[in-house]
Amino acid sequence: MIKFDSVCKYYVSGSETVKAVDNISFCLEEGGYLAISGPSGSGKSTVLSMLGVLNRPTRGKVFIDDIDVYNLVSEQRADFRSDYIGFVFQAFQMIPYLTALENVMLPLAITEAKNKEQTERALEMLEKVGLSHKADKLPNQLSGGEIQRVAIARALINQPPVLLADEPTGNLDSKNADSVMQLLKELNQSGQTVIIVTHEKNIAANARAHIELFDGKIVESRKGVLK
Amino acid sequence: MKLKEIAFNNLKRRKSKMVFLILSIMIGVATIITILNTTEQAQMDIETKLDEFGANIMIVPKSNTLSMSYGGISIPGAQYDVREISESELKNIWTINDNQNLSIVSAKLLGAVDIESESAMMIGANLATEIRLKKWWQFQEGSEIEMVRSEEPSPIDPTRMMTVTAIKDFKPTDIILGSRVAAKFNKNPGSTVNLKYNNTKGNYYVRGVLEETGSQDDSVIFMDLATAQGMLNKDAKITLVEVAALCAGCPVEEMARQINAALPNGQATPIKQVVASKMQTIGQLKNFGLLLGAIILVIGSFIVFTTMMGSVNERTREIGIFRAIGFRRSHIMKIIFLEAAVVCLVAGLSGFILGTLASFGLSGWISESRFTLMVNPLYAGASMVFAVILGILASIYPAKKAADIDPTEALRHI
Ligand SMILES: Nc1ncnc2c1ncn2[C@@H]1O[C@H](COP(=O)(O)OP(=O)(O)O)[C@@H](O)[C@H]1O
Ligand SMILES: [Mg+2]
Repeated sequence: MIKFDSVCKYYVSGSETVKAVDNISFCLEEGGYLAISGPSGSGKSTVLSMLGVLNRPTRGKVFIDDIDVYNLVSEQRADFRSDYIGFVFQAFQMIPYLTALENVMLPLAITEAKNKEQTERALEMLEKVGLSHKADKLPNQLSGGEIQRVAIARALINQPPVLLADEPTGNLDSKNADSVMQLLKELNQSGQTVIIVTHEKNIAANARAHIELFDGKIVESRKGVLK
Repeated sequence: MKLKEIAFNNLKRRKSKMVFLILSIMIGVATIITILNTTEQAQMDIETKLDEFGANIMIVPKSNTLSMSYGGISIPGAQYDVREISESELKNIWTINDNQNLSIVSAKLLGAVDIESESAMMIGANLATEIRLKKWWQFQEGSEIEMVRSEEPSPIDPTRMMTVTAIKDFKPTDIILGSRVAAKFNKNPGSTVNLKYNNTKGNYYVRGVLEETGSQDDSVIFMDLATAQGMLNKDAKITLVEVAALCAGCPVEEMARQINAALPNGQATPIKQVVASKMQTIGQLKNFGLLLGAIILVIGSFIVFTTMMGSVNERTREIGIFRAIGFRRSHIMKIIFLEAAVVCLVAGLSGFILGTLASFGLSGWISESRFTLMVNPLYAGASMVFAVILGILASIYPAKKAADIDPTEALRHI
C-alpha cells in the first residue's frame, strides 16, 4: 500500500517560494491504478518523484509497504528504488549508447544477476512489450512509441511492486499512445500497481482511481483514494 | 551487463574525445619513459666505456705544485718542473692485492717540445700499450700501424710467459700525431717532422696520424717512451701512469688506494671522479626531462579533469535516469572512474610503447649508431599503474559531481 501523509514540497528560488505540492494526503491499495491529472505546473511530476523515492518532501511522510521511505539513508533509498519502483518518463529516457536490450537490462547491471540471466530476462520483457525483434537497435533507431515500450520493459525487469509513469504518452501520436495505455492497462490487470501522470482527461477518466491537482492541491479525487 | 560495459559503451561513443585524452596522457608518459631509457643508456654507455676503454686510474707524481689537466694534467709551455716517478717503481703496481684486475698500465712522460719553432705537447709512452688502452683511437689513411703479438717472459715472474703487443717494425724515431697537430703543421703519415727540445733536435718519421678523437690527444705528439726520455733528458722518469682495470664494476677506489701504498712517490686517483661530472650532467638532463614529463602529465590530468567534467555535465539526464533506476551514488562514481581508468590504462601503455620506440630512435644517436631497444617491463607496469592513478585522481571531483546530481532536477526538463 502507498500512503501520502500531509505531504508538502516547496521550492525556494530567491525570495520566492513555490508550493509545488501543498499538503496532499491519499492512499492507494496494492494492484491499484491511479491517474494523476492537472494542468502543467500543478505539481504532478513532483508528486510522482516523491512517490518514486527521488525527491524528499519538505514536510509530511511517504509510506510504501509501511516503510517510511525518506527515513532511509541515501544508499538505502537507491536500493529501494531498485527493488520497489519502476520509472517511465515522457521522453529521452534511453541511454543513447546502449541497445534496446541493454537499456532493458540496465537495472540488472547493479544486481548479482549473471549476464546470461540478464539477457534472458531482458528478452522476455521485450517480448512482453512486443519488441523482441528490435533488441539490437539503438534508441535513435526506434520510434517514440517503441521507446516508451522499451522504457516500460526496463521499468518492470526487476519486477517492482510499483510502476510510475510520468506522461508516458505525452510525445506520442494517438495510435501509439493508445497502444502504450493498453499495455499499462493489461499490466495492471495482471496485478501491477500503476501510477500514471497525465493531463489527458479521457485517460484520467478511465483510471480506476483518479486525483486531479491544481496549484499543488487535490481538487478532485475518486475511488480507492482516501483523503 | 555490468557497470564496466556501460563505461566501455560510453567510451566507444566518444571516440574522438577519448583519443584526445589518451594522447594528452600518452605524450607525458612517453616523455618520461624516453628520458628514463635514454639517460639510463647514456649512463650505462659511459660506464662501459669507462670499464672497457681507457683508464680508470690515473697516477701522477706526488706533491706537485703545478695545475694538472691532461685528463688530469696540463703542461703550461716549456717551464715545468714536475717531479717524476722513476720507472723502476712502476713494477710495484703489479704487486697490489687486486692485481688480477689490472689490465693495462701505460706509463708516460709528458713534455713540451718545439715543432717547427712552435711549442707542442709531447707524450712519450709505449705506443702499442697506448693503442690498446685507447681502443677508440682510429688512424687516418696511410698510417702504417699493424699490431703484432708475441710471447715474452713476464717482468714480475720471468718463469711465466705473457702476451706482448707491439707495433710492427716500430723504430725509436717513429711518432704518432694527433689530428690537430698534423693538420696545423700539414703533416701526413710518411712525413718527416723536426722536433727540438733545448739543444737536442732530430727528425722523426710520422708512422700514423690519429682521426679526431675530440680529446686532448688531438693536440699531442706521441713518441716512444725511451726516445722521449732521452730527448727530454729524463732517463727512466715517468710523469703519468694510466691504469686500466679489467672488469666492469672493479673496486677502482680500493685499487687506487693499494697503488698509493705501493708507490710512495705516486698519487693514484680513480677516474670515476672525472666521470662523475659527466654523470651529473646526465642527471641534470634527466631531471629536466622528468620535470618536462611531469608538466605534460599535469596538463594531461587537467585535460582528463575538464573532459570528465564536460562529460558529466553532458550526461546529467543520463545520470538522473541511472539514479531513478536505483543506481547508488557509488555506482555512478564507479562508472566515471572506470572510464577514466580505461582511458588512462590505454594511454599509459601506448605512452610506454611510444617512449620505448622514441628511446630506440635516440639510442643510435647517444651511443654512436648502436641502436638498442630497451624494453623495461617495470616501466611498462609503472606507466600503466601511474597513468591509471593519475586518471582516477583527476576524476575524483567530476565523479563526485556526477554522484551529487539531483535526479529530480536532472529529469525535470523533458
Ligand atoms: N526543482 C525545482 N525547482 C524549482 N521549482 C520547481 C522544481 N521542480 C518543480 N518546480 C515548480 O513546481 C511546480 C510544479 O512542477 P511540476 O511538479 O513539474 O508540475 P507538472 O508536472 O504538473 O507540470 C512548477 O511551478 C515548477 O516550476
Ligand atoms: Mg510534469
